[in-house]
Amino acid sequence: MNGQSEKNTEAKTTKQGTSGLEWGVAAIAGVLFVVMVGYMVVEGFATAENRVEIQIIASPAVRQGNAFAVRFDARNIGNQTASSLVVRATLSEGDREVETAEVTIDYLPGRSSAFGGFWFSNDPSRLKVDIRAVSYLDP
Amino acid sequence: MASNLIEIRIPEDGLDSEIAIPTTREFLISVGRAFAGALLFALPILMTMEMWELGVTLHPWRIALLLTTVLPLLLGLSHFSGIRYTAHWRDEIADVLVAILVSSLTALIVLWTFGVISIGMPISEIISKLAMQFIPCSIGAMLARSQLGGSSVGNGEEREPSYAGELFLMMAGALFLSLSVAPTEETILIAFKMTTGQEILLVLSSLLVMQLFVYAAHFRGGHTFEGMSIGSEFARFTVVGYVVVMAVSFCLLWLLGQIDGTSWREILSICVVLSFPGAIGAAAARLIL
Repeated sequence: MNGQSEKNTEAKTTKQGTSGLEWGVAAIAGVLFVVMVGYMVVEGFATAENRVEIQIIASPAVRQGNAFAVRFDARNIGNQTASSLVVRATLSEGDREVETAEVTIDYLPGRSSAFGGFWFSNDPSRLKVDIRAVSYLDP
Repeated sequence: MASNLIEIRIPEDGLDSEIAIPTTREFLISVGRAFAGALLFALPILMTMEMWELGVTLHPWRIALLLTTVLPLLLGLSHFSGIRYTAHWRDEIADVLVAILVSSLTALIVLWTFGVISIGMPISEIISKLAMQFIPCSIGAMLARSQLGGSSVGNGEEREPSYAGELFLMMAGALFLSLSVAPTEETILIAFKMTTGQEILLVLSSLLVMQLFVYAAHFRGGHTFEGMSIGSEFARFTVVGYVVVMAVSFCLLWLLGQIDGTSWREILSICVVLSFPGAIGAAAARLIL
């Protein structure tokens, strides 16, 4: 094919083929693509029963200047995304509420975690700490 | 109707043509261009927060549908735009697959660098976030692979598309431009703010812009159909084109979950708003591709 050195200037057209390397790359891409689409289809069946379930794991309070910081890990163990998820922390002594703090997480997808923290002016280690998710929206 | 169309077709019989297999170097250069093109076309969308969020809020089946629409879209784009004069359909398929791989890698690298994707994330979330970037990235990759600085391959002759091909190009152009706007809250907010009178004005403006682009096609080497009256051109390209654009807007909004639970009256308004950039994209595609 390359032996034809004379290049015609008229309407003869050079079509482009595909090299072996390109076919190799294309094959990898094809497999990857099918796996991605397949995964999402299977995932779609798995999310048939939609559920948001939030677990909160809090770390011990750490003193930061005048405040006490408490970090938390909000884990959505359900399979549906929660939007505008509100997490509220309450410090109480007996029946008396001492202090509350609140944070809103924009999006928390299913089987995912979001990390955050609260600052309190009272020392949480001497009080009862209750951190829980209180509300969310369907996205 | 079809009789007044003059189609210019390059012979496809293979007798009068030879097939050039790109060398490894040419292939690698084209892949490099594809990365550049994917970045150029998709960076604004890669840096849009709504596109990341959609990755986690959309139902997986919609993501799967979005992914699968990329294939026929790119295949049609490769075929009708004549951006690369391939020997067979299978070469176009290879082209499309390479573009898909390049766009996944581009999206993966950029989103990981931005911290939008991280290793601890569920795979479905990563795939979803990548899928949202597929259409702009892969269109960029495809166009750039053959066009950016590209006189090294191909002989520069374009395949003139048929009427259906023109409509396809318009659809692709509309999709490309409206994709960056469709997921944003502003589209819906604008629709809420507009009065019916303003919406009608927007429809007329969209039609006018499309018609102006049709005229521009006569001067700027876009695809034109000789011997067609203004009225016929208006009906065939501008009006039908606008209907295509509206359909693209509707499908896109539905696919991105933007109109779930919305009333038909409001859906129409949002479609009109989204069809404005769509119309420009559609008309420009005819001119550029």
